[in-house]
Amino acid sequence: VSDQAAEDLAEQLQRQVGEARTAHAQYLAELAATAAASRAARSSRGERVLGDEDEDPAMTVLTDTSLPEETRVEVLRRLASSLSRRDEFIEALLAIVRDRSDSAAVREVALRVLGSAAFQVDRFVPHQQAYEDALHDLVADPVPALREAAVGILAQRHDPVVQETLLRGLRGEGPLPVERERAILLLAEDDHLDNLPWLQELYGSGSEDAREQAVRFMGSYPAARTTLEGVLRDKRESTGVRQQSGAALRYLAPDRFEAVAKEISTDTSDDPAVRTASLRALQHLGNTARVYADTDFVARVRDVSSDESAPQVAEVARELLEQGPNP
Amino acid sequence: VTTLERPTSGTDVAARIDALRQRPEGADELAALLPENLPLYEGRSAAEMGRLRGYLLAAFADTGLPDAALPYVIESLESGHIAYEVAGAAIGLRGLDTPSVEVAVPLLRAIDNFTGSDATVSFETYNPAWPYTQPTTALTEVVRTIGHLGARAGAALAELERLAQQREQFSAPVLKEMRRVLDEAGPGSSHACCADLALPEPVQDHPATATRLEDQDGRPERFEDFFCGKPSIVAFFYTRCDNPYKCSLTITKLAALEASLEERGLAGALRVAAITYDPEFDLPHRLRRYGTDRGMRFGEDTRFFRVTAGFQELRRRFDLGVNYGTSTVNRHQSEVYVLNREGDIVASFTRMRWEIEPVLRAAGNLLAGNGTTTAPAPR
Repeated sequence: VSDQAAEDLAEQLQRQVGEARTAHAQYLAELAATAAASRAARSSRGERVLGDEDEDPAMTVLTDTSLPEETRVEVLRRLASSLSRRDEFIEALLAIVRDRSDSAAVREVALRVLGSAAFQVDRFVPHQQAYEDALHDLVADPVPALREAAVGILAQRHDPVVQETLLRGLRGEGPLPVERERAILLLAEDDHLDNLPWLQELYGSGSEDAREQAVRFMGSYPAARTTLEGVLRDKRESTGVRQQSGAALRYLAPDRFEAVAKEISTDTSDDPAVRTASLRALQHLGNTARVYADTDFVARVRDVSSDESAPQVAEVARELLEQGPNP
Repeated sequence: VTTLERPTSGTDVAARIDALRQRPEGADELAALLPENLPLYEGRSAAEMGRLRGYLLAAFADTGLPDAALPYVIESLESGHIAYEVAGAAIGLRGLDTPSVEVAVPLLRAIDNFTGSDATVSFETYNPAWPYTQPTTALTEVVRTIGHLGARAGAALAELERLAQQREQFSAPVLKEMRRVLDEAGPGSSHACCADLALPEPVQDHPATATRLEDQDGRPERFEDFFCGKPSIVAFFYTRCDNPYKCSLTITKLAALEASLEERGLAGALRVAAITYDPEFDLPHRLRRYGTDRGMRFGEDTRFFRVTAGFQELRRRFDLGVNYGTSTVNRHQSEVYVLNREGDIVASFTRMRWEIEPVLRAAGNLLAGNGTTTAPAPR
């Protein structure tokens, strides 16, 4: 970069920073005006205004449900970090999230702000339990986005309450807070639950993406070995699902994967992408010495390496042979 | 009660617990339900096991806590990682009427474990629906139990005074409970009241088995070939254990124990091993990785194993405190054993959190020619 270009860039950045500062200052001024009007209106109605003690305009505006939701959402978006710096502000955010009569848009953004605040573990410890209680409340919330967000957060923590809710829903004993497919995938995050029947259901009835996820999670269940081997061999199945099934089988039973991958990689009637992935896995990921010691397999790979009908597979086969002990 | 078999639903087991908790003699029958390796618990998920355990332990508050149940309560307090189970253990401990038992350490460990990860639970019924009408939390119940036990909680009451000052560490309801307990206890009530916890440990002596093993490098081994000829220390674990206070801690301590043996020049005199509860999933590369990540230095006398044949024999030989759901382990105790050069168990460190020094002492006694057929006092 020339000196001139560098100077131009620095000048441009300074200008942009200046503009951003000006815009922010202007926003804060407008916010202060909105807060002052809100404070006056609420005082006249005899309401207590949070943030009034130190005239914090952000909290004043945020907690005024009579203001347009766009105004309150903007406060959350622009001033998220400052809103989680005080205990009473976090409590106010929790109250907003739990208030079903409040705007759904405001509640959704408030939940995201709380989620970010929860990452500051040390500061958030006194509120963690109340936050999780709020999430539990949201599991039955009428707003789908809030329900899904809460269920997702809790399920990733292996929360027993949400796991039980999802299981009841899947068994038809109660409402499911999220789509059935999503419920199964969320439960699958915990491999100490008996999820294999749900994963098999998902594989049998789900979309391609869901089938791929189903076989991925099956990698935690030794009883799924036969299913995974079947999916890996199934030429009617999509490439992505077969490759994921191969990865899961390799995770679960590397020896079995090696045997199946050897067959697939040298089967000229099979999908070239699956054959290529199988060869690469054999070359790089498993018991490489044992693979090269299998003279019958190496001979078949040699045939594949000169097969012009599948050039991608042939190229990977040549790589495998070149990197072997007898290139 | 223990004849209840697996098809019994969790709700039915809970109903039986509710019936027993009403009866004066129910305590012993409830205690009989505590071992995790009962057929009753086979095939249940870990989540259901945790819920049943918490509900069962809480029932001892009504029946009184028999001696046989105390190790289980202490185990859950110091090693439980599910709020419901720990809350249940804390409630159950209120059934304690033996003043000489030291419970401060497990109560304080529970507070330490759950600081920052407390959760709302409820014992109003078995598995109640949210929102709860009688909510509580693990820490609230632990603090309440310290207050209930008073001087019998020993140093825990004094420590509570200090913890109550750490406002940023606890939720408002827990702090409020701490204040209430301390106010009721009054000044000068917190003093240590320490007595050693002497609990009987099982000592078993079994003939050799045909159990076949495979180590962290995929090498096959017969049980007798590794565990006979030299005294050994063996722990049980599995790599998918999600409780940081059990398997991960056990293997970390086993690595420290191994290092201590080297420092004392005993490395060649003893063998150190760990055997997985989950042999189908814990393939050799997983065993190696799990051990290496926790500081194990593998060698001829230091190996991790999975069982490739004869697992049920091994399970009976050690009377392993483990049970299984449909995919993996659903619950287990902590267990470390010292075996003599014939491969027989001479000391057991089970249920409660084990410490390195007592295990080393038991092994040292063995090397010194003591305790080849009888167990040294392991605790």
